[in-house]
Amino acid sequence: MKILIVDDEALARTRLRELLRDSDSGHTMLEAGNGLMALELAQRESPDVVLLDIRMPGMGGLEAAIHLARLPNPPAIIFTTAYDEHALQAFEASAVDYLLKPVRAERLSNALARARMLRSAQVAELRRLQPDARQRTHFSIRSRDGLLLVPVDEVAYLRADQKYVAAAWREREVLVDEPLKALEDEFADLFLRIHRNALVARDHILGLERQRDGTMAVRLRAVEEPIPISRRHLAEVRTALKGIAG
Amino acid sequence: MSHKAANTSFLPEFCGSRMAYVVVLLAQLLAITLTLSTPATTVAAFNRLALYSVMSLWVGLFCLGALCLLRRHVQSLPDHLAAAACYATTLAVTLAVTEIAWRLAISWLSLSGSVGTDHAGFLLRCLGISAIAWALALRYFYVRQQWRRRVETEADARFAALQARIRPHFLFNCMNTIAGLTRQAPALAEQAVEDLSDLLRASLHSAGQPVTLAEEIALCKGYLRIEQHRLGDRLRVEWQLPESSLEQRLPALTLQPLLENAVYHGIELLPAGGTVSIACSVTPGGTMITLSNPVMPGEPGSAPRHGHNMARENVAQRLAAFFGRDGLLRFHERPGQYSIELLLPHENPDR
Repeated sequence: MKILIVDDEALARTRLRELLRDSDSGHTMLEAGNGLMALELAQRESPDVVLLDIRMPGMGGLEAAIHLARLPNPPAIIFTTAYDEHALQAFEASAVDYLLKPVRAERLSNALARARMLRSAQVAELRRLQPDARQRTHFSIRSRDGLLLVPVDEVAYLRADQKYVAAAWREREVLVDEPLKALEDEFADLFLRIHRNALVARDHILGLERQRDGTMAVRLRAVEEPIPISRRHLAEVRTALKGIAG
Repeated sequence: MSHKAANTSFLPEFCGSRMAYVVVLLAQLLAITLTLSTPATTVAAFNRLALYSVMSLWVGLFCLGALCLLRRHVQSLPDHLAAAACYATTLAVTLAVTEIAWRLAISWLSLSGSVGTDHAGFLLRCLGISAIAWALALRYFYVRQQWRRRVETEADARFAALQARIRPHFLFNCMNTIAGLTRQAPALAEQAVEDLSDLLRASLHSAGQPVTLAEEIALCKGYLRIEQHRLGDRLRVEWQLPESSLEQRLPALTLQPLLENAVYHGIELLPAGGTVSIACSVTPGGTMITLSNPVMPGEPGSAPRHGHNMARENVAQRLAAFFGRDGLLRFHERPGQYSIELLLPHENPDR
């Protein structure tokens, strides 16, 4: 079995590695120190199981699990944690696998024996847990080469077209397959609604600009075209901008 | 606590066979009490008991039915309004049932001998008895619920106090560290167990007791050694301790919880870690300790969470109790950096 151990503490990783080696020397083991590294490794190596710590710097375990579930061959996920009352209650309720640290050898092998992929309901549950810990730090974009991880704070705007949402990132647009409304709710503190079909990153706003036809638009850092503001959202945008300037 | 919010009404569940059983029982006891209160022959007493029973059961059960319907609407009201609504309802139902009973007794059953001829008097007597009985019942429900609430709050408070002393997050991570070290470096595992024991002993027995700064710092260093095993070179510590500050007296567990905050809310969340610095300086006003640590800049949700404030409040309370005045603890927060200043007076007026 190919097992990816994700924990920011070297000692915790070593301990799991040793327990796994004791139980079965046939396992292939990989290690990562945070969520981002785990995703990178998982894309390249397609592990069968990921042992995922919840609290890690950079990208934590809950978010990593959400992205891992979107891989073409999603691995089975078992969370490991020393103590996280809130998450454990949710795991218990939605039958997400988890192990408590210090992990016992027999619990570990039991968990491995019945490890499975996250069902979509469980992913939804993890998402629900997110705001309480931290928001997602990255969007995962499905592309031909696998998952592309786009840092949320580098996205200038999110614009809904007919069926998809385009995110402006590093002078190009990538497609996020989530509804605009859900994105607005999740990232209300980072993105501002300026139009029925557009959210802009508060941190990327340079200023407002009147267009030739008399309508208003937002100028964004590193984006050539101004993004139109609908009349209905103009007042809100102005108030929000005052808040940012102040 | 929030999960109890749905269940804070003092009114019990009126709908259901359990409550009906209680009402039947109490109504019967009331009927027996009323029968015993006047002298009568056996036959007359049984007649009277039958009549009283019918009356009290009717009133009791109709009132219960009304309360059952009413509860849904009044349970979110403040206690006194809910109580007033319930009480008014029972009185109105009593009056209605009594009036119907009077008409039945007079016109169809010719029981005027038993109920008397004074219509208003009959109504008032029944109303009076029912008013007293329901007042007692509502009061009982209220007292019972107050008692339950107090038991729950006490349990919550005790639990919170315990958690403030020994953070489960730290404790279990520490156990994991020890489990990991046991194989690889038994000597370090041994030291971690000793350090943890010192910390637990201090948490359980000597929180707030007077110690010297040197002793408190020894405890802190033990704590940091444990965290160092977990975090490796992500956790760096800088001490600035002039010799003259070491004899300063302070309540035990003043610095350690603040260091724990610095690690939990600061260093642990930084991919590259950071440096916690502790600097002491002796000033004319007392010993000034500054503790600062980097935090994740602008990270959404990185604002100090509940646990953060709890540790800070505990320390503030300890200082206030020990030095007898406030304003010894100050916090500064700027993007990416968090710092705390403590001023410990040289002289302790209380001792």
